[in-house]
Amino acid sequence: MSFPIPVAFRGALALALAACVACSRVEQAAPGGSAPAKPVRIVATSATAVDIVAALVEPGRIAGFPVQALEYSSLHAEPPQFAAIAKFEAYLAEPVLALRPDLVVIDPWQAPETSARLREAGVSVLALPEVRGLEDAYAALRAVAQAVGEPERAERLQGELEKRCEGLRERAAKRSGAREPLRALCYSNFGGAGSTAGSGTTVHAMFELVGLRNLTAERGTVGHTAATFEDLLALDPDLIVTSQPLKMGEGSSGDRGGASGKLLRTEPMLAGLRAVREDRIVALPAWLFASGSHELVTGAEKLESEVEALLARLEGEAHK
Amino acid sequence: MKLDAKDLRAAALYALALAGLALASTNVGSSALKASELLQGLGAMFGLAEPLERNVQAIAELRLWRAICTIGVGAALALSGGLIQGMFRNALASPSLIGVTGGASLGAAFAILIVGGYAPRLVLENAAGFDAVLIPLFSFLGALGTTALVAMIASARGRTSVTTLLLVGIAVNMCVAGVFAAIQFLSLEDWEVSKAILAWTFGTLDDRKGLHCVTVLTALALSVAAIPFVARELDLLKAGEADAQALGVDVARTKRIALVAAALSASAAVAVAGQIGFVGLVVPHLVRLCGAGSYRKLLWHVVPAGALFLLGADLLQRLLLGEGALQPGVMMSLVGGPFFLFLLVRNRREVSTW
Repeated sequence: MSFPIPVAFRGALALALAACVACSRVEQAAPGGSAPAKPVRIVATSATAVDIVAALVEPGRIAGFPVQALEYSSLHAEPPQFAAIAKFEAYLAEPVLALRPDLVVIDPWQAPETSARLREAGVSVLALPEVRGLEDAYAALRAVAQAVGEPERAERLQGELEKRCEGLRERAAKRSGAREPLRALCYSNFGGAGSTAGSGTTVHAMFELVGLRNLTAERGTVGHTAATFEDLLALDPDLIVTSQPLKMGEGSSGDRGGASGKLLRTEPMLAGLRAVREDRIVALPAWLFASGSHELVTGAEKLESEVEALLARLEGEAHK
Repeated sequence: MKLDAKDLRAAALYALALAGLALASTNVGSSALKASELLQGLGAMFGLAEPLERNVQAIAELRLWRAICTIGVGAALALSGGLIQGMFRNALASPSLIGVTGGASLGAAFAILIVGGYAPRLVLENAAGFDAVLIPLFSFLGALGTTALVAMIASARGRTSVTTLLLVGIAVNMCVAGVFAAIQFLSLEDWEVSKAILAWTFGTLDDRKGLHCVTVLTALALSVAAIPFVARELDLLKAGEADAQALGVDVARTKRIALVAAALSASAAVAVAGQIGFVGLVVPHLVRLCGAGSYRKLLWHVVPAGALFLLGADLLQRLLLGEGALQPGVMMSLVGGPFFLFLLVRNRREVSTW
């Protein structure tokens, strides 16, 4: 049995669908709403957005950011010039509207209902593109720069970042000339289940910049995935990279590597891992480990310094 | 209870099937391990062979612990389900009704918060070094504590009404779920901790060790020991409490023993493997469909049947989808639900007489 659908209804349906598709495209590409050419009350709603906005505009143009940015963004050191800026707990329409923003910069995964309420209230909302690597991070930087009216500043910043990346690559090439690149794996386990990151992640981008082989990516894994003890034992990496919380959960570990590092060092089943036996576990601050912005270059530099310290130690031990 | 030739034959079949599936399960993993290496590694665990290279030996041991743990968890959940269904005289009852799952989740969430550093320094310092046992211990205590609370509130003058138990269970579950949701919400911003809490709710059979196996098998053994004290009584209870009492059944004692045994086995299972739904509900039904209708038979059969069910399902999904593709809790919900529906529809006539 078939139900005849009136032509007018079909047409309306097609129009509605087309409008939906068009709206979703607009959200990714442009702020929508009516943002001034140079907004002066910008609200950044995620750690990534805070990283980018704080790098492009003076603190006086930032109207607010989430408290979590004090753990997971470049503001983790709480610079005094940002101290007076309002902070909010969650990405909800009311606290954001209370800041009277003329531009709100959000991550692509943040609550679409809230973004819709903000747009309905006439606020311009810019959704960042998803960041899976360096090029995405530059694209996010340029998108925000366009929206805040600072394209030259973004160009300068990108130039500096590219130089830093060049330096990282050169040093990585030198290291790989002297010895085989380290076989590395990032690992996170807070008791629920272990996880790691393959290609198409910012951790992978950091590994590439430092010249580390990402064992998870070499297995063909894209994105984040579970990692069992058997995976770790089978891969037996030269180096394991974990994250170290800064303020939230402080005292969780009392040693390097946070809860994940502690688990790796104390789990008897993993005692045979080379990285455990030879203390080749390094910890990145959580704000860099989880960075979704251009700050992943800073993460790579931090990782590089940890790797160089490790290599120096290993060389020293070899000479003994 | 006397065992006849049919029972012995069934026991032998169960043992053979379990051994075969367990061996097949140890042969599947993310790393390439030859069957000879695996056998040598397993032999080395019992001092029967030379140990393999350290990491390969650890892999062989992890696979054996996983298989044993899966057997224990499946058996414990199924037995708990059988006991709960008998006590509630309702074929749709499962261990989560009396707060086991909710309590275990809450306990695990607290433990993950401690591991993640959300506790006073004094607690953190004293907990140092106990991270590995903290989550199973807290979830076990959470499950038992919640069940005890449900039983205490539902009991009046030493008697426990099944209806009151059910309603109190629902109410306590709601309270526990509220606290659990609050913890999840408050830890949302710390993605490492919130991810760990979420991952726990999917259940896991990965990275299990001897401690997990001992925990679940000890609880299972204690619960199995309760079967002779409740099996006949649960059959008589089917006709109603008054009739059972007239036939000499100490109803209050039967319910107490069944409740403690069910809570103990389910708590241990959830503590070591997280939330794995459906086993407790569906395995007793499968056993009924195979002809074991009375609790005197059903309670004995659900133990190996539960073990086979979870071991087989876990092995099948790892073979079909690959290692780590689906966690057991997710897999059970995805496959168990439609499978249960299919059985119900196909056997509508028999089901109506349960």
